[in-house]
Amino acid sequence: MLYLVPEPVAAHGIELLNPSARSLEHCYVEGEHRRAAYARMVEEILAPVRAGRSVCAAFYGHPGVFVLPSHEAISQARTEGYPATMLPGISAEDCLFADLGVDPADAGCQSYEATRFLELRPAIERYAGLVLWQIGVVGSAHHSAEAEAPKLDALVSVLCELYSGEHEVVVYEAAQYPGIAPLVRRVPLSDLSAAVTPVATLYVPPLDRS
Amino acid sequence: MSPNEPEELAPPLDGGDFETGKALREFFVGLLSDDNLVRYHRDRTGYIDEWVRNERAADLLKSETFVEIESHILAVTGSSRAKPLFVVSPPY
Repeated sequence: MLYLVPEPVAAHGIELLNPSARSLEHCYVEGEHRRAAYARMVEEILAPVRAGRSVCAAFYGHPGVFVLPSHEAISQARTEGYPATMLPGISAEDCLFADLGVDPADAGCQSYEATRFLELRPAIERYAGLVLWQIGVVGSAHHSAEAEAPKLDALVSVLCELYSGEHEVVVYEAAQYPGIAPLVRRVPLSDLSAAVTPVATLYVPPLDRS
Repeated sequence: MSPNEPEELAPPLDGGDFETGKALREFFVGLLSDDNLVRYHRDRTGYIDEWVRNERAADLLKSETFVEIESHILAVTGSSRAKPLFVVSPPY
């Protein structure tokens, strides 16, 4: 049993279920490109598989949403002839829809990782909602214990070109504990930089068609 | 305030308190047992009063201040496991 969770209560809960469970946190090296950590995680997951053991790897949120090593481990396992299955979980976006009362069926919803959004500059439908993940680390490719968002101002500029600076956006962080309220900061787009938290997701509501 | 009525919260604290964090951690881990989670959602205040002896922890749980609760819990282990920045997605 291998796991990667961002806070100690979940880790403790997993270890209660399986005392031999091991965290994948040691795969990260401060200042190193995150791809190296992902590669280590894939190897940690696959090594016992190749040794004939049944392996479960648990990631926080949905293991298939914004999680590279889970997809990569499953792909490699299947390529090597081992059966592998992913079970769904609850992603930050699922929590956002519930907490903010947003139904993507209403106006549609676009969803991008913030750094990829800046790199690719996809065509945006402003009359649909927009979710940008990982705005607290936008522009950062390296692991750091402290939040670094070197491209946050650039992101705000791009968004202000698409929407007005007065357009209200939501900095959102799902609560990790049951019964506790999420972090929700509603700010004008022009004030976004000061409101961002390290693990926040940004929701940009659609423009009003009327 | 219910979880579906989001509200702007206080900014993160510089540091959490170990004893408060320990009480909070034990509380949330306890929710994993038996039907505790169902009982908690059925009667939050009553459940908190029954299970939490640390006054500060009980007040925090009743106020639902996520950022502050997290700061105290992260003060418990002092290990890298407590860091919230385990990014597992791009860049590719």
